[in-house]
Amino acid sequence: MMKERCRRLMRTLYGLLALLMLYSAPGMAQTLVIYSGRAKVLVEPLVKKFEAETGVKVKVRYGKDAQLLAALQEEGTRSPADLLWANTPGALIEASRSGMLSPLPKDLLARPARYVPKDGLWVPVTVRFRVLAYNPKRVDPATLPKTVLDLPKLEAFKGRIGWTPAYSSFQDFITAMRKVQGEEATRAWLSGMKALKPKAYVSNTPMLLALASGEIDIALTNHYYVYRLKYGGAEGEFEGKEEEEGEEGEEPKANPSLPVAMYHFAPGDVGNLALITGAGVLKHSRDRALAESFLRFLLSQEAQSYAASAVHEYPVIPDVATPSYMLPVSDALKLSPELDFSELKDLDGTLKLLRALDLL
Amino acid sequence: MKLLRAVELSKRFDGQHVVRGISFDLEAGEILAIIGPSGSGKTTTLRLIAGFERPDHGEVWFEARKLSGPGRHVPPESRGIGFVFQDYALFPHLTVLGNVTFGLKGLSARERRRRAEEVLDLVGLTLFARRYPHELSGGQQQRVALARALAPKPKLILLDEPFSSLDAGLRESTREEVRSILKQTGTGAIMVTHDQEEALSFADRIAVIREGRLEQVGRPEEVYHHPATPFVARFLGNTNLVRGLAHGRFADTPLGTLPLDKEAWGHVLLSLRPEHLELLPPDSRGLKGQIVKRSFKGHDLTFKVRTEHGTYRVQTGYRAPWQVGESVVIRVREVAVVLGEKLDESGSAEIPVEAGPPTHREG
Amino acid sequence: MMRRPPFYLLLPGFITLAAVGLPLLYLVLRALEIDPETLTDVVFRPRNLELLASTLKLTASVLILSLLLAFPLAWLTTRTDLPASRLASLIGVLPLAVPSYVTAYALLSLGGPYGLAAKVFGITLPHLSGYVGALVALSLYTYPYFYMNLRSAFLRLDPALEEAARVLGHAPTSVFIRVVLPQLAPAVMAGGLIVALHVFGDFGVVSLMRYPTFSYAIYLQYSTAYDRVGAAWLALWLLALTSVVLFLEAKATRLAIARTQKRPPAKLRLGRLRPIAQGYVTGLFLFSIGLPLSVLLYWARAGFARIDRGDLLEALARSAFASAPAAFFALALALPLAYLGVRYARGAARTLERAAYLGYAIPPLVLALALIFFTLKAVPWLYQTIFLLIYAYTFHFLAEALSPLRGTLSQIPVAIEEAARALGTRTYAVFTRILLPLLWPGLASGGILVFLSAMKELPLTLLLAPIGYDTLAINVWSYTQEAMFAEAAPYALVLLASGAIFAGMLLAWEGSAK
Repeated sequence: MMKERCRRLMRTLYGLLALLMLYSAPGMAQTLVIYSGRAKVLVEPLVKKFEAETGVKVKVRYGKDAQLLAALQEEGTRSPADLLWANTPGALIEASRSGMLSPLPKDLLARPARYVPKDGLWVPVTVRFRVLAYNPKRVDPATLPKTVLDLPKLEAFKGRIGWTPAYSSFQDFITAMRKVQGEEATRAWLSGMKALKPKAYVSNTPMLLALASGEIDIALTNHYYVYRLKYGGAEGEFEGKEEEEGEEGEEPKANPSLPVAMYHFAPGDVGNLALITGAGVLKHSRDRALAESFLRFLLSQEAQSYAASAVHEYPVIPDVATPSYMLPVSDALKLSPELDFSELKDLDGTLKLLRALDLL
Repeated sequence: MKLLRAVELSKRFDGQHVVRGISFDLEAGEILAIIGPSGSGKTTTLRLIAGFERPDHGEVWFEARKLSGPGRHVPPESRGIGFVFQDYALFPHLTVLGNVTFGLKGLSARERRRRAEEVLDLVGLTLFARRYPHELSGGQQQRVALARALAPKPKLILLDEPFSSLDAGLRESTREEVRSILKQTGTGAIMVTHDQEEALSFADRIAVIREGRLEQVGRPEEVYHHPATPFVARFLGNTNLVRGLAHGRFADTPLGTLPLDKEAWGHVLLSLRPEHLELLPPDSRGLKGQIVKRSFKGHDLTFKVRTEHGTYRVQTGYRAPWQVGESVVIRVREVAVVLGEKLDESGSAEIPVEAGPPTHREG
Repeated sequence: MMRRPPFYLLLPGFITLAAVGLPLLYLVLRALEIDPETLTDVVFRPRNLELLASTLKLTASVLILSLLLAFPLAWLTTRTDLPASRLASLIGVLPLAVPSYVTAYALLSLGGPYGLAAKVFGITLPHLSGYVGALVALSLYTYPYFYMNLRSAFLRLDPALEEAARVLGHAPTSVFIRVVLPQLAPAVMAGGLIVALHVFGDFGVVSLMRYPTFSYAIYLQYSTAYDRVGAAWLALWLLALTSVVLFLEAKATRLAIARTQKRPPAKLRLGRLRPIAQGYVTGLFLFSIGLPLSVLLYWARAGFARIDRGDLLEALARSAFASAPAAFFALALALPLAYLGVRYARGAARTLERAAYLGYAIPPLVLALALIFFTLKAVPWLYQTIFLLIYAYTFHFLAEALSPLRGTLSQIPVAIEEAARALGTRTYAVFTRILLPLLWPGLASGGILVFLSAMKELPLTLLLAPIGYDTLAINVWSYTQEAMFAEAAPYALVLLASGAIFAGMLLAWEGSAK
């Protein structure tokens, strides 16, 4: 009696599972596999749009840049990946250096207005900037230093600084500092910061929420995290939803009055570093043309303006409008130091330094 | 002064009377066995004395001190009465020595040690002081339990079925040992058991309990040979219950006119132990019958003999020649014990006709 | 029972040993590939001692706090006249259905000026994070392990022991300290071992709460550095720590547990203390179950509007599709292992059965890393497939299938099997016609336990799930990590609901089996 019931139940369960598997299986459609160092919230709407337009099935493996690179290295020729979309130039340079990427066609390389690497192995997709976020209720921006290098002098902020040593943009920033200021100065800066007992976060949004909550006063972060927290995230036009959801007001994400503000160091300071996200096609891809078509999509007006309006990242192709509350592209670019991105390749050295100082 | 007095003790559990008005007392150094079938209330009586339960009515006096009674309940730890549990309840996390010293208070560590060694010596377990209970045999555990109870030198020890977990062979020797230790130390004891042989051989006095009431209290021989009720007669060994018409020191019964242990008149119920009967060849004088069952028990033989006046149980020497089916004559060799007088003609309600002594152990 | 077990009964044991042992071997091999310079850089540095200290600190305090939470509950439900004690017992077990990272999520989204408490009640609670946050979340999740062990120990205690101590002149409090507590020690040890293993292995809570333990460091090392040799070494550190704890536990003197009691113990009347006891039980319920649930429900209102229903269903299907086969395989392996352990309870057979517990004791991140190295080197076609995930679930949760099967099997007398044989039934038929029908309750509970654990499992899934195979657990974790509480809520709710449905099935089964 009970046995029969069990058997029937198991049969139904497996039937259901088999159905679900069929549903989620790739089927006969073309499949594109992306290894994405970029967060799901940013990537997924674009992927859905692409799928809807082309009928291509896209699978995304999310991870941190280093994790994906390590996976690509361990997997070698067996890797299912077609495309690497990295959060940092460092990862793309590492991928180029170890020969994982295949050269891109000229038309694709010609699209972005700037930041295209000389080797032509990848294209930039968006630009973002390092900033110092602060809580305007607790901090007067006039008291903040002109250069990030003077941050360790702020004894008053002891225990009230947030940073993300394990986060790739932070590591790129350190790599740039090593290039611009030299190894010793960077080490001294890190030690000085460490003496101020900063709070280490894994990701930026919780750090900024802590900032808004008054747990910390200043935080080293990327510019779009501040916008995202205040003006909303990656939803809206792309998922075909109606403009307003009504209940939006109670979310901390879209709250312009949140006490989080952005501070820029003096123009040319390494603390204002511009960082690009970019993507390249992998050598062992089974369908390079398909991967390239996704890159073309990413560099389209549509995708670029989506990135600007929904993700608050600056476009790399010309003539894309950015939302009014964002600092204009031209102004933002003036703040960043002039730096060749291929100089940011020594991530290993940065990791060693961070480890030596017990920050990782 | 009496060592212990139980006065009209009563206890109910969930509305059910378990102990109903039990009274008895105990002299210093005396051993009393409380015996009765499962569920007769004997363990509850013991727990009332130890203080684990509060009586609903009645009092418990220990020498001049009232332990239980209306408005008074001395907790078990303040009574100064020892207790040996059925499964010994040795503390598994303590060594033998730890168990024995557990109840010793107000003594220096050295004195405690000496006292423990003293009682361990008494029970012959000096060499096992460092062992843990699970490393000991059943008999050894039993003696540790006794030593633990004796260590604080109580004047009274309560023993709850203390030998029931032991093998039959071990049981007898342990029993004798425990009795001699109790006598040697002059400790009074109350033991609860359902085993009549154990009670008869262990105790100075026996109290037979049934459905929460005392049926009879007395010396073992007295209770065995002169049971006051049919229940006591049957409970303390096999017996043949025979009706008769008494006239003074004699009574007319199907087995002939028998001498009685005391004077009685009218309809009576008599007890005749199987070993007080004998079998004779069929041409002898007496009640004739036919053997229906023969059980060989080693040192003796027990026969069941069917007669026109019912079936009798007869115990003979092992040489008795009779086989099943043969005709015999039953003869009585001892005086008959009068259990009840002035029964009406049919009055057998009091007689548990097929109730023999319990053959199973209480579980 | 001196027979030698047949080979087909030993085979699953060897399979289990190999399935867990071989990957560990590869982990060691991979760790040995380290170049000497990195060795001092990664392996022997003060930071590792700090990690060791913080891991031990968290473990010790979780042990203490969860014991403090569980002990009164166990005592109240077994030894007092606490009303509705069956319901209270449920509170002792139910938190296991709420994954620890969900509790962490609830705590995180509660405090601070933008937290739920501030929005709904206008009170700004302190933001729980770091050591305190991890301690609270882990203790609320792990106290049932202490509770279950303590409860059965309390029920097993022979009341005669306490009475014996009383007549030997000890007052009730003294009896409790000198007799009752020592008897409970084995239960505390057994519960403590499982709690410690959980804290060592926990990844979700410490990562969300930002508290550096070995597991967290392994993940950081794994996800930030190009070279995984550092992660491999940290994994070996954690493995060594786990082995030390297992070794110490095995070494600790085992007391013979008092025989099963014959009388139920006397129940203490709570009297005036009753409201306090009830308040305690209610508080425990509110914190361990009520809080996560109500926080989830609150966020889910906004959350369901934000996420795609299709994504939610897909995540559910992925969780179930990886967990159900794992439950099946775990049962298939556990059945012969349990039979081996119960019917041939000696020597090599016993050792082999123990192999099933190996996978359970290894911290999941370590197991995941080992499996990655192993598959890449030895069976590359398995890498990045769902089969690897099922493999990991199967061997990590095998022990959970084994326990109920062992329990059920030891209730079935050998004589039943022998009777069947005497009636001319073959081995196979004895199994299908006699054992299987009798074992159904054990099979059902074992299977459901493994299924639920796999559904909840985070670290194994995070490292081993194929590309884009985002299960419910992964969604909950990654949204929470980005402080996107509303988006995380629907996934967590579906996870809890599926847990509740299957746990309900389990209870119904147990009810009907009786």
